[in-house]
Amino acid sequence: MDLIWKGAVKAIRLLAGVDRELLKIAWLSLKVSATATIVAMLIGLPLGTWLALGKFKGRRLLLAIANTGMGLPPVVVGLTVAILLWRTGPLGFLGLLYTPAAMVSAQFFIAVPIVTGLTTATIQSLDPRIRLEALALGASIPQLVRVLWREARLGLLATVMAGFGGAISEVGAVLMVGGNIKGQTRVLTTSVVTETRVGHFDQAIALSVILLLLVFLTNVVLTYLQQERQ
Amino acid sequence: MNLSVKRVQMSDPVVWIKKASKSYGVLVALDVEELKIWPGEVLTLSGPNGAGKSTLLRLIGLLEEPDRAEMFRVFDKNAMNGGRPALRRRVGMVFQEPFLFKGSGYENIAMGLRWRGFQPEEIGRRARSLAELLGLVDLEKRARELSRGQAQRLALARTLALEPELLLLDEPLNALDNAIRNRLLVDLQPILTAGGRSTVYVTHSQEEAEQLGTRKLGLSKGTVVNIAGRKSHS
Repeated sequence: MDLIWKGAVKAIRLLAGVDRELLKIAWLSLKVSATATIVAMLIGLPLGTWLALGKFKGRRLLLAIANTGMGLPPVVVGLTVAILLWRTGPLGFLGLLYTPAAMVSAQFFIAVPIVTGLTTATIQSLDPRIRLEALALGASIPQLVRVLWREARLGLLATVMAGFGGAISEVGAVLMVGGNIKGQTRVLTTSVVTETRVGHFDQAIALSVILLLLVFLTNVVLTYLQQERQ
Repeated sequence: MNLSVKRVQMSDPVVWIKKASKSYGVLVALDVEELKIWPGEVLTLSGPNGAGKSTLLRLIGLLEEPDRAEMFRVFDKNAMNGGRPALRRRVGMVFQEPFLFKGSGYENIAMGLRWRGFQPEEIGRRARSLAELLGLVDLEKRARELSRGQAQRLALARTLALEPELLLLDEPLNALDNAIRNRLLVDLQPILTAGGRSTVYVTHSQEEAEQLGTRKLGLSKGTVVNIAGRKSHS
Protein backbone atom coordinates (compact mmCIF):
# COMPACT_ATOMS: atom_id res chain seq x y z
CA MET A 1 0.00 0.00 0.00
CA ASP A 2 2.88 2.32 0.84
CA LEU A 3 4.34 1.68 -2.59
CA ILE A 4 1.03 2.46 -4.31
CA TRP A 5 0.69 5.65 -2.29
CA LYS A 6 4.23 6.72 -3.22
CA GLY A 7 3.44 5.96 -6.83
CA ALA A 8 0.26 8.05 -6.74
CA VAL A 9 2.10 10.97 -5.14
CA LYS A 10 4.85 10.70 -7.77
CA ALA A 11 2.21 10.72 -10.53
CA ILE A 12 0.76 13.96 -9.17
CA ARG A 13 4.28 15.50 -8.94
CA LEU A 14 5.12 14.48 -12.49
CA LEU A 15 1.87 15.92 -13.83
CA ALA A 16 2.04 19.08 -11.74
CA GLY A 17 5.67 19.59 -12.67
CA VAL A 18 4.80 19.20 -16.35
CA ASP A 19 7.66 16.76 -16.86
CA ARG A 20 8.64 17.17 -20.50
CA GLU A 21 9.69 13.58 -21.01
CA LEU A 22 6.46 12.33 -19.46
CA LEU A 23 4.40 14.62 -21.66
CA LYS A 24 6.26 13.36 -24.72
CA ILE A 25 5.63 9.72 -23.74
CA ALA A 26 1.96 10.34 -22.95
CA TRP A 27 1.44 12.28 -26.18
CA LEU A 28 3.09 9.54 -28.24
CA SER A 29 0.95 6.89 -26.49
CA LEU A 30 -2.21 8.81 -27.34
CA LYS A 31 -1.14 9.55 -30.92
CA VAL A 32 -0.15 5.96 -31.73
CA SER A 33 -3.22 4.37 -30.13
CA ALA A 34 -5.65 6.94 -31.51
CA THR A 35 -4.25 6.51 -35.02
CA ALA A 36 -4.42 2.73 -34.77
CA THR A 37 -7.99 2.91 -33.46
CA ILE A 38 -9.15 5.33 -36.15
CA VAL A 39 -7.71 3.15 -38.92
CA ALA A 40 -9.23 0.08 -37.23
CA MET A 41 -12.60 1.88 -37.21
CA LEU A 42 -12.32 2.86 -40.87
CA ILE A 43 -11.86 -0.79 -41.78
CA GLY A 44 -13.60 -2.59 -38.93
CA LEU A 45 -16.92 -0.72 -38.94
CA PRO A 46 -17.71 -1.31 -42.64
CA LEU A 47 -16.28 -4.84 -42.52
CA GLY A 48 -18.28 -5.73 -39.43
CA THR A 49 -21.43 -4.26 -40.98
CA TRP A 50 -20.88 -6.24 -44.16
CA LEU A 51 -20.43 -9.44 -42.16
CA ALA A 52 -23.62 -8.66 -40.23
CA LEU A 53 -25.80 -7.96 -43.25
CA GLY A 54 -24.27 -10.02 -45.99
CA LYS A 55 -25.54 -13.32 -47.27
CA PHE A 56 -22.67 -15.08 -49.00
CA LYS A 57 -20.75 -18.31 -48.85
CA GLY A 58 -17.98 -18.28 -46.29
CA ARG A 59 -19.58 -15.56 -44.20
CA ARG A 60 -19.60 -17.61 -41.03
CA LEU A 61 -15.98 -18.61 -41.56
CA LEU A 62 -14.96 -14.96 -41.95
CA LEU A 63 -16.90 -14.13 -38.82
CA ALA A 64 -15.15 -16.93 -36.92
CA ILE A 65 -11.81 -15.52 -38.07
CA ALA A 66 -12.77 -12.03 -36.87
CA ASN A 67 -13.91 -13.41 -33.53
CA THR A 68 -10.69 -15.41 -33.22
CA GLY A 69 -8.77 -12.21 -33.87
CA MET A 70 -10.30 -10.72 -30.74
CA GLY A 71 -8.31 -13.23 -28.72
CA LEU A 72 -5.16 -13.01 -30.82
CA PRO A 73 -2.05 -13.13 -28.62
CA PRO A 74 -0.37 -9.73 -28.92
CA VAL A 75 3.11 -11.26 -29.03
CA VAL A 76 2.07 -13.20 -32.13
CA VAL A 77 0.97 -9.91 -33.70
CA GLY A 78 4.23 -8.27 -32.67
CA LEU A 79 6.33 -11.09 -34.04
CA THR A 80 4.46 -11.14 -37.33
CA VAL A 81 4.72 -7.38 -37.85
CA ALA A 82 8.40 -7.44 -36.84
CA ILE A 83 9.15 -10.22 -39.37
CA LEU A 84 7.38 -8.24 -42.09
CA LEU A 85 9.19 -5.04 -41.29
CA TRP A 86 12.74 -6.06 -40.48
CA ARG A 87 15.39 -5.27 -43.04
CA THR A 88 15.29 -8.67 -44.74
CA GLY A 89 11.51 -8.92 -44.53
CA PRO A 90 9.07 -8.32 -47.40
CA LEU A 91 8.34 -4.78 -46.20
CA GLY A 92 11.82 -4.05 -44.92
CA PHE A 93 12.37 -1.51 -47.72
CA LEU A 94 9.91 0.78 -45.94
CA GLY A 95 12.31 1.16 -43.02
CA LEU A 96 9.50 1.25 -40.51
CA LEU A 97 10.81 -1.08 -37.82
CA TYR A 98 11.40 0.66 -34.47
CA THR A 99 9.29 3.64 -35.48
CA PRO A 100 5.88 4.86 -34.26
CA ALA A 101 4.44 3.71 -37.61
CA ALA A 102 5.37 0.12 -36.79
CA MET A 103 3.70 0.51 -33.41
CA VAL A 104 0.55 1.84 -35.09
CA SER A 105 0.56 -1.23 -37.36
CA ALA A 106 0.85 -3.63 -34.45
CA GLN A 107 -1.89 -1.90 -32.47
CA PHE A 108 -4.07 -1.75 -35.57
CA PHE A 109 -3.92 -5.55 -35.93
CA ILE A 110 -4.93 -5.88 -32.31
CA ALA A 111 -7.78 -3.36 -32.52
CA VAL A 112 -9.33 -4.25 -35.90
CA PRO A 113 -10.65 -7.72 -34.95
CA ILE A 114 -12.18 -6.21 -31.80
CA VAL A 115 -13.91 -3.45 -33.77
CA THR A 116 -15.00 -5.86 -36.52
CA GLY A 117 -16.34 -8.58 -34.24
CA LEU A 118 -18.19 -6.21 -31.92
CA THR A 119 -19.62 -4.22 -34.84
CA THR A 120 -21.02 -7.41 -36.33
CA ALA A 121 -22.61 -8.37 -33.02
CA THR A 122 -24.00 -4.87 -32.52
CA ILE A 123 -25.58 -4.64 -35.97
CA GLN A 124 -26.98 -8.16 -35.74
CA SER A 125 -28.60 -7.35 -32.41
CA LEU A 126 -30.55 -4.41 -33.86
CA ASP A 127 -34.28 -4.73 -34.41
CA PRO A 128 -34.63 -6.46 -37.83
CA ARG A 129 -37.46 -4.06 -38.68
CA ILE A 130 -34.91 -1.24 -39.05
CA ARG A 131 -33.44 -2.78 -42.18
CA LEU A 132 -36.83 -3.60 -43.71
CA GLU A 133 -38.24 -0.18 -42.89
CA ALA A 134 -35.23 1.63 -44.37
CA LEU A 135 -35.32 -0.47 -47.54
CA ALA A 136 -39.09 0.08 -47.82
CA LEU A 137 -38.47 3.83 -47.68
CA GLY A 138 -36.08 3.44 -50.60
CA ALA A 139 -32.70 3.55 -48.87
CA SER A 140 -29.69 2.74 -51.00
CA ILE A 141 -27.02 0.57 -49.40
CA PRO A 142 -24.94 3.53 -48.12
CA GLN A 143 -28.12 5.17 -46.79
CA LEU A 144 -29.12 1.92 -45.10
CA VAL A 145 -25.71 1.61 -43.46
CA ARG A 146 -25.92 5.21 -42.19
CA VAL A 147 -29.32 4.50 -40.64
CA LEU A 148 -28.06 1.31 -39.02
CA TRP A 149 -25.01 3.05 -37.60
CA ARG A 150 -27.16 5.84 -36.26
CA GLU A 151 -29.51 3.39 -34.58
CA ALA A 152 -26.55 1.39 -33.25
CA ARG A 153 -24.62 4.42 -32.03
CA LEU A 154 -24.53 3.29 -28.39
CA GLY A 155 -23.09 -0.09 -29.25
CA LEU A 156 -20.69 1.20 -31.88
CA LEU A 157 -19.16 3.79 -29.58
CA ALA A 158 -18.66 1.06 -27.00
CA THR A 159 -16.95 -0.91 -29.76
CA VAL A 160 -14.59 2.01 -30.44
CA MET A 161 -13.82 2.27 -26.72
CA ALA A 162 -13.02 -1.43 -26.62
CA GLY A 163 -10.77 -1.12 -29.68
CA PHE A 164 -8.94 1.87 -28.19
CA GLY A 165 -8.58 0.05 -24.88
CA GLY A 166 -7.08 -2.95 -26.63
CA ALA A 167 -4.64 -0.72 -28.51
CA ILE A 168 -3.42 1.54 -25.73
CA SER A 169 -2.99 -1.25 -23.20
CA GLU A 170 -0.81 -3.27 -25.55
CA VAL A 171 2.82 -3.75 -24.48
CA GLY A 172 4.28 -6.96 -25.96
CA ALA A 173 3.73 -6.24 -29.63
CA VAL A 174 4.67 -2.57 -29.19
CA LEU A 175 7.95 -3.52 -27.51
CA MET A 176 8.84 -5.92 -30.32
CA VAL A 177 8.20 -3.52 -33.20
CA GLY A 178 8.91 -0.23 -31.45
CA GLY A 179 11.98 -1.12 -29.46
CA ASN A 180 11.04 1.20 -26.58
CA ILE A 181 13.65 3.75 -27.71
CA LYS A 182 13.84 6.70 -25.35
CA GLY A 183 12.58 9.87 -26.98
CA GLN A 184 11.38 8.04 -30.09
CA THR A 185 9.21 4.99 -29.50
CA ARG A 186 8.79 4.86 -25.74
CA VAL A 187 5.14 4.89 -24.71
CA LEU A 188 3.44 4.61 -21.32
CA THR A 189 3.05 0.82 -21.33
CA THR A 190 6.65 0.13 -22.39
CA SER A 191 7.87 2.73 -19.87
CA VAL A 192 6.06 0.87 -17.08
CA VAL A 193 7.84 -2.32 -18.13
CA THR A 194 11.23 -0.56 -18.23
CA GLU A 195 10.84 1.11 -14.84
CA THR A 196 9.63 -2.11 -13.25
CA ARG A 197 12.61 -4.05 -14.63
CA VAL A 198 15.07 -1.62 -13.05
CA GLY A 199 13.20 -1.59 -9.74
CA HIS A 200 11.77 1.93 -9.97
CA PHE A 201 8.38 0.78 -8.71
CA ASP A 202 7.14 4.20 -7.65
CA GLN A 203 7.89 5.52 -11.14
CA ALA A 204 6.19 2.48 -12.68
CA ILE A 205 3.10 3.03 -10.54
CA ALA A 206 3.10 6.72 -11.38
CA LEU A 207 3.19 5.92 -15.09
CA SER A 208 0.39 3.38 -14.62
CA VAL A 209 -1.75 5.99 -12.87
CA ILE A 210 -1.12 8.40 -15.73
CA LEU A 211 -1.95 5.71 -18.30
CA LEU A 212 -5.21 4.98 -16.48
CA LEU A 213 -5.97 8.69 -16.38
CA LEU A 214 -5.36 8.98 -20.12
CA VAL A 215 -7.65 6.04 -20.87
CA PHE A 216 -10.27 7.42 -18.48
CA LEU A 217 -10.26 10.89 -20.04
CA THR A 218 -10.52 9.45 -23.55
CA ASN A 219 -13.43 7.30 -22.49
CA VAL A 220 -15.11 10.26 -20.78
CA VAL A 221 -15.21 12.00 -24.15
CA LEU A 222 -16.44 8.89 -25.97
CA THR A 223 -19.01 8.15 -23.28
CA TYR A 224 -20.28 11.72 -23.49
CA LEU A 225 -20.71 11.25 -27.26
CA GLN A 226 -22.38 7.91 -26.70
CA GLN A 227 -24.85 9.14 -24.14
CA GLU A 228 -25.63 12.44 -25.82
CA ARG A 229 -29.37 12.95 -26.17
CA GLN A 230 -30.13 9.62 -24.50
CA MET B 1 -69.12 -16.36 -55.56
CA ASN B 2 -68.33 -13.45 -57.80
CA LEU B 3 -65.56 -11.18 -56.78
CA SER B 4 -66.48 -7.57 -57.30
CA VAL B 5 -63.96 -6.28 -59.77
CA LYS B 6 -63.78 -2.75 -61.01
CA ARG B 7 -60.89 -2.41 -63.36
CA VAL B 8 -60.25 1.27 -63.84
CA GLN B 9 -58.60 0.79 -67.19
CA MET B 10 -57.50 -2.11 -69.28
CA SER B 11 -53.73 -2.01 -69.28
CA ASP B 12 -50.80 -4.04 -68.12
CA PRO B 13 -51.00 -5.07 -64.50
CA VAL B 14 -48.84 -3.13 -62.04
CA VAL B 15 -47.93 -6.41 -60.37
CA TRP B 16 -48.04 -9.84 -61.98
CA ILE B 17 -47.11 -12.87 -59.97
CA LYS B 18 -47.41 -16.39 -61.30
CA LYS B 19 -46.60 -19.69 -59.60
CA ALA B 20 -44.62 -18.04 -56.81
CA SER B 21 -43.83 -19.51 -53.44
CA LYS B 22 -41.95 -18.56 -50.32
CA SER B 23 -40.97 -20.80 -47.43
CA TYR B 24 -39.26 -20.24 -44.12
CA GLY B 25 -37.58 -23.49 -43.27
CA VAL B 26 -40.24 -26.19 -43.58
CA LEU B 27 -43.11 -23.73 -43.33
CA VAL B 28 -44.66 -22.81 -46.69
CA ALA B 29 -45.68 -19.23 -46.01
CA LEU B 30 -46.97 -18.44 -49.48
CA ASP B 31 -47.90 -20.35 -52.61
CA VAL B 32 -49.62 -18.15 -55.18
CA GLU B 33 -50.95 -19.57 -58.43
CA GLU B 34 -51.50 -16.20 -60.04
CA LEU B 35 -52.09 -12.68 -58.84
CA LYS B 36 -52.45 -9.50 -60.84
CA ILE B 37 -52.86 -6.03 -59.44
CA TRP B 38 -54.22 -3.44 -61.82
CA PRO B 39 -53.60 0.32 -62.03
CA GLY B 40 -55.96 2.36 -59.93
CA GLU B 41 -57.43 -0.49 -57.93
CA VAL B 42 -57.60 -1.01 -54.18
CA LEU B 43 -57.14 -4.68 -53.50
CA THR B 44 -58.14 -5.53 -49.96
CA LEU B 45 -56.52 -8.61 -48.54
CA SER B 46 -57.86 -10.53 -45.60
CA GLY B 47 -57.17 -13.82 -43.89
CA PRO B 48 -56.37 -15.34 -40.53
CA ASN B 49 -53.09 -14.74 -38.74
CA GLY B 50 -50.29 -16.64 -40.42
CA ALA B 51 -52.13 -16.80 -43.75
CA GLY B 52 -49.23 -15.15 -45.58
CA LYS B 53 -50.56 -11.61 -45.97
CA SER B 54 -47.46 -9.85 -44.65
CA THR B 55 -45.22 -12.24 -46.61
CA LEU B 56 -47.08 -11.38 -49.81
CA LEU B 57 -46.67 -7.68 -49.10
CA ARG B 58 -42.94 -8.07 -48.47
CA LEU B 59 -42.55 -9.93 -51.76
CA ILE B 60 -44.52 -7.33 -53.73
CA GLY B 61 -42.58 -4.60 -51.92
CA LEU B 62 -39.36 -6.28 -53.12
CA LEU B 63 -38.06 -6.66 -49.59
CA GLU B 64 -37.77 -10.40 -50.00
CA GLU B 65 -37.43 -12.69 -52.97
CA PRO B 66 -39.70 -15.64 -53.67
CA ASP B 67 -38.02 -19.04 -53.57
CA ARG B 68 -39.40 -19.68 -57.02
CA ALA B 69 -41.63 -17.81 -59.46
CA GLU B 70 -42.58 -18.41 -63.06
CA MET B 71 -43.42 -14.72 -63.33
CA PHE B 72 -42.68 -11.92 -60.91
CA ARG B 73 -43.20 -8.57 -62.53
CA VAL B 74 -43.51 -5.29 -60.66
CA PHE B 75 -44.42 -2.33 -62.85
CA ASP B 76 -42.97 -3.28 -66.21
CA LYS B 77 -39.83 -4.93 -64.93
CA ASN B 78 -39.07 -8.52 -64.15
CA ALA B 79 -38.12 -8.12 -60.50
CA MET B 80 -36.22 -11.38 -60.55
CA ASN B 81 -33.64 -9.83 -62.85
CA GLY B 82 -32.28 -7.17 -60.53
CA GLY B 83 -32.89 -3.44 -60.35
CA ARG B 84 -34.84 -3.88 -57.14
CA PRO B 85 -33.60 -0.73 -55.35
CA ALA B 86 -34.91 1.51 -58.13
CA LEU B 87 -38.23 -0.36 -58.22
CA ARG B 88 -38.52 -0.18 -54.44
CA ARG B 89 -38.56 3.60 -54.62
CA ARG B 90 -41.80 3.45 -56.58
CA VAL B 91 -43.47 1.37 -53.87
CA GLY B 92 -44.58 2.59 -50.45
CA MET B 93 -45.15 0.20 -47.58
CA VAL B 94 -46.60 0.60 -44.11
CA PHE B 95 -45.86 -2.37 -41.88
CA GLN B 96 -48.25 -3.84 -39.36
CA GLU B 97 -45.75 -2.97 -36.61
CA PRO B 98 -43.95 0.04 -38.05
CA PHE B 99 -40.51 1.02 -36.81
CA LEU B 100 -39.92 4.69 -36.12
CA PHE B 101 -36.35 5.94 -36.39
CA LYS B 102 -34.53 8.05 -33.85
CA GLY B 103 -35.47 11.69 -34.09
CA SER B 104 -38.65 13.68 -34.39
CA GLY B 105 -41.79 12.89 -36.32
CA TYR B 106 -40.69 15.42 -38.93
CA GLU B 107 -37.32 13.72 -39.35
CA ASN B 108 -39.06 10.40 -39.88
CA ILE B 109 -41.27 11.87 -42.61
CA ALA B 110 -38.31 13.67 -44.17
CA MET B 111 -36.05 10.62 -44.25
CA GLY B 112 -37.27 8.94 -47.43
CA LEU B 113 -37.70 12.29 -49.16
CA ARG B 114 -34.14 13.36 -48.35
CA TRP B 115 -32.83 10.09 -49.72
CA ARG B 116 -34.60 10.92 -52.97
CA GLY B 117 -33.04 14.37 -53.07
CA PHE B 118 -36.10 16.47 -52.26
CA GLN B 119 -35.49 20.06 -51.17
CA PRO B 120 -36.35 21.18 -47.62
CA GLU B 121 -39.21 23.39 -48.81
CA GLU B 122 -40.99 20.51 -50.54
CA ILE B 123 -40.30 18.20 -47.61
CA GLY B 124 -41.82 20.74 -45.25
CA ARG B 125 -44.86 21.23 -47.45
CA ARG B 126 -45.59 17.51 -47.69
CA ALA B 127 -44.97 16.97 -43.99
CA ARG B 128 -47.34 19.76 -42.95
CA SER B 129 -50.03 18.68 -45.38
CA LEU B 130 -49.95 15.05 -44.18
CA ALA B 131 -49.76 16.06 -40.54
CA GLU B 132 -52.98 18.01 -41.02
CA LEU B 133 -54.66 15.15 -42.89
CA LEU B 134 -53.69 12.50 -40.36
CA GLY B 135 -54.16 14.62 -37.24
CA LEU B 136 -50.52 14.69 -36.17
CA VAL B 137 -50.30 17.64 -33.84
CA ASP B 138 -46.62 17.99 -32.98
CA LEU B 139 -44.12 16.85 -35.59
CA GLU B 140 -41.19 18.04 -33.47
CA LYS B 141 -41.98 15.53 -30.76
CA ARG B 142 -39.62 12.57 -30.63
CA ALA B 143 -41.17 9.80 -32.69
CA ARG B 144 -40.59 7.14 -30.05
CA GLU B 145 -42.53 9.11 -27.48
CA LEU B 146 -45.72 8.92 -29.55
CA SER B 147 -48.65 6.74 -28.57
CA ARG B 148 -49.31 3.64 -30.67
CA GLY B 149 -52.07 5.35 -32.61
CA GLN B 150 -49.95 8.44 -33.28
CA ALA B 151 -46.99 6.23 -34.27
CA GLN B 152 -49.16 4.37 -36.75
CA ARG B 153 -50.35 7.64 -38.28
CA LEU B 154 -46.77 8.90 -38.46
CA ALA B 155 -45.73 5.73 -40.29
CA LEU B 156 -48.58 6.30 -42.72
CA ALA B 157 -47.56 9.93 -43.23
CA ARG B 158 -43.95 8.88 -43.80
CA THR B 159 -45.00 6.53 -46.61
CA LEU B 160 -47.66 8.75 -48.18
CA ALA B 161 -45.15 11.61 -48.34
CA LEU B 162 -43.21 9.59 -50.91
CA GLU B 163 -46.26 9.58 -53.25
CA PRO B 164 -45.55 6.04 -54.41
CA GLU B 165 -47.16 4.48 -57.47
CA LEU B 166 -47.96 1.32 -55.52
CA LEU B 167 -49.05 1.42 -51.91
CA LEU B 168 -48.87 -1.60 -49.60
CA LEU B 169 -50.67 -1.07 -46.32
CA ASP B 170 -50.60 -3.76 -43.65
CA GLU B 171 -53.46 -3.00 -41.24
CA PRO B 172 -52.53 0.69 -41.15
CA LEU B 173 -55.44 1.79 -38.95
CA ASN B 174 -55.75 -1.08 -36.49
CA ALA B 175 -54.37 0.88 -33.54
CA LEU B 176 -56.70 3.86 -33.94
CA ASP B 177 -59.87 4.56 -32.02
CA ASN B 178 -63.11 4.38 -33.98
CA ALA B 179 -63.64 8.11 -34.34
CA ILE B 180 -60.24 8.74 -35.89
CA ARG B 181 -60.37 5.56 -37.95
CA ASN B 182 -63.78 6.42 -39.44
CA ARG B 183 -62.58 9.90 -40.35
CA LEU B 184 -59.42 8.57 -41.94
CA LEU B 185 -61.30 5.96 -43.94
CA VAL B 186 -63.08 8.80 -45.68
CA ASP B 187 -59.97 10.97 -46.06
CA LEU B 188 -57.74 8.15 -47.27
CA GLN B 189 -60.09 6.84 -49.93
CA PRO B 190 -59.07 9.28 -52.70
CA ILE B 191 -55.41 9.01 -51.76
CA LEU B 192 -55.30 5.26 -52.31
CA THR B 193 -55.96 5.65 -56.03
CA ALA B 194 -54.68 9.18 -56.65
CA GLY B 195 -52.96 9.54 -59.99
CA GLY B 196 -53.66 5.94 -60.98
CA ARG B 197 -51.99 4.59 -57.85
CA SER B 198 -52.71 0.98 -56.89
CA THR B 199 -53.08 -0.12 -53.29
CA VAL B 200 -52.98 -3.44 -51.52
CA TYR B 201 -54.71 -2.99 -48.19
CA VAL B 202 -54.53 -5.72 -45.57
CA THR B 203 -57.34 -5.61 -43.08
CA HIS B 204 -59.34 -7.81 -40.75
CA SER B 205 -62.17 -5.28 -40.85
CA GLN B 206 -65.07 -6.05 -43.17
CA GLU B 207 -66.08 -2.42 -42.90
CA GLU B 208 -62.72 -1.19 -44.18
CA ALA B 209 -62.73 -3.77 -46.97
CA GLU B 210 -66.22 -2.73 -48.07
CA GLN B 211 -65.51 0.97 -47.88
CA LEU B 212 -62.10 1.04 -49.51
CA GLY B 213 -61.73 -2.00 -51.73
CA THR B 214 -62.46 -2.22 -55.43
CA ARG B 215 -61.57 -5.91 -55.23
CA LYS B 216 -61.33 -8.32 -52.35
CA LEU B 217 -59.08 -11.30 -51.93
CA GLY B 218 -58.62 -13.75 -49.13
CA LEU B 219 -55.49 -15.64 -48.15
CA SER B 220 -55.53 -18.89 -46.30
CA LYS B 221 -52.48 -20.98 -45.44
CA GLY B 222 -50.43 -19.11 -48.01
CA THR B 223 -52.77 -19.52 -50.96
CA VAL B 224 -55.09 -17.01 -52.56
CA VAL B 225 -58.74 -17.92 -52.11
CA ASN B 226 -61.83 -15.84 -52.71
CA ILE B 227 -64.00 -14.67 -49.85
CA ALA B 228 -66.26 -17.65 -50.21
CA GLY B 229 -63.39 -20.05 -49.87
CA ARG B 230 -63.08 -21.33 -53.43
CA LYS B 231 -59.63 -21.22 -54.99
CA SER B 232 -59.63 -18.44 -57.54
CA HIS B 233 -57.33 -16.86 -60.07
CA SER B 234 -57.24 -13.13 -59.78
